[in-house]
Amino acid sequence: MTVVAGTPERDDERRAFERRRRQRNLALLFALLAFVILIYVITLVRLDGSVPGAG
Amino acid sequence: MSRRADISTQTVAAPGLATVGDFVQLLKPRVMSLVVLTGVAGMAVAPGSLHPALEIVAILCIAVGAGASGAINMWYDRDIDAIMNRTCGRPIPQGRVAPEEALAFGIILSGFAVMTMGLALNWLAAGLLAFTIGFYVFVYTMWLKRRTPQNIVIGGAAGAFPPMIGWAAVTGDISPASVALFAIVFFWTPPHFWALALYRKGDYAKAGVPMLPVVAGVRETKRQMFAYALLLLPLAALPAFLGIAGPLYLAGALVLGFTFLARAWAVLRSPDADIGDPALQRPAKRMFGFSIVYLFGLFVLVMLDGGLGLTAPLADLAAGFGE
Repeated sequence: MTVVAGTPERDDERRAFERRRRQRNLALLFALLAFVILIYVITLVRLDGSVPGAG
Repeated sequence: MSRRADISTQTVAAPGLATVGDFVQLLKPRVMSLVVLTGVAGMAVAPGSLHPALEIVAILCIAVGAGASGAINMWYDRDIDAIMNRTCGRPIPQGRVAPEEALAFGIILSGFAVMTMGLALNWLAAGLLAFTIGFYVFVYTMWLKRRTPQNIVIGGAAGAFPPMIGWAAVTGDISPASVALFAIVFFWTPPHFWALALYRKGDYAKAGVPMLPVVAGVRETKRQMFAYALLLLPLAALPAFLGIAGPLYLAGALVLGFTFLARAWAVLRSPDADIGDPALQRPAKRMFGFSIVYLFGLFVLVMLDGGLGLTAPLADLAAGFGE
C-alpha cells in the first residue's frame, strides 16, 4: 500500500485527518464561490455608477 | 539579547492537523470585532451614502485586512507566542498550522482585502487599508514590538486607522472628523494594553518583549495610563464639536470618560509592590475589561447619535439659539 507523506497510518488518525481535510476543502470551496459572487455583485453595482470618489 | 527567541521553543507543525477553526483563530476574531465596529462607525457618520452591497464589501475588506495582519503577526511572533502563557495555545505554537501556511494565508487575504476595496470602493480607502496592514506588520510587529516600550504607543496607529478607512470608503477623502475618530482609538490603545501588560508583566518579561511595566516599572506605567485616560476625556468629546454627533454622544462620552478615568485612578492608587499577587492585579484587570466597554460604548454612541441623527449636532443647536 502506498502511504502519502504526512498522512497518518492508524485508522482513527487517518479518519480524523481526512475529516479535517474535507472540512478545509469545503471551506475553501465556499470561500471561492463567495469571492465569485462578490465580484459579480460589485460589477453589477459599479456598472450602476453609484460610487463616489471611484476612478 | 537576540530579538528572536530560541528556535528550540518552537513546535513543528504536523501536516493535516489544522481545522477551519485554526485558520479562523489566526485572524484574531476578538480584535477583528473591535476593528469592524470602529470601521462601521466611520462609515456611519461619514457624509454621503453607499449602495448597501458596497457597504457590506467595505466592512468585509476592513475585517479581512485586520484578520490578515493578525495572521502575519502570528507567523512572525511564533517564537515568543510559544513562550507566553496568553498566546501559547495559538495554532502555530501548538503545531496545528505550519508557519508558512499562516504567512501565505495572511498575504493572500491582505491582497484580497486591498484589491477588493480599491476596485469596489475607492483607492484612497484601499491605500489606507494597505498602509494599516503594512504598519501593523512591518512597523509594529517586526520593528517596534521587541525594541521599545513605546511599541504599542506608535504601533497603536495601526488599530486606529479603521474609522478613517470606513470614512474614506464612503467619501473618498480624509477629514478632521475622521482624524478625531483615529485619535480616540490611538490614545485609547496605550492604557488598554498597559492594563493587560501590568498583570501579564511576567509573561512579557519571559518572552523578552520590552513592555512599559517590564522596562520602566509598574509605577511609571500606572502614571502614564492615568495621563492617557485624562487626555482621552476631551478627545472623546471632539466628535460632538466636529458635527458628526450631538449632545447624546457628548453626555455618553463624558460618563464613559470619567468612569475610565476612575478606573485608571484605582490602578494608580493600588499598591505595586507585588504585581503577581492576584488581589493586586484586580484594578488592572478591571481597567482592561472596562477599556473594551469604553471603546465599544463610544463608537456605538457615535453611530447611534451621529449615524442615525438622534440628536442634532451642537453646531446646529448653537445656530438655533443664535436665531
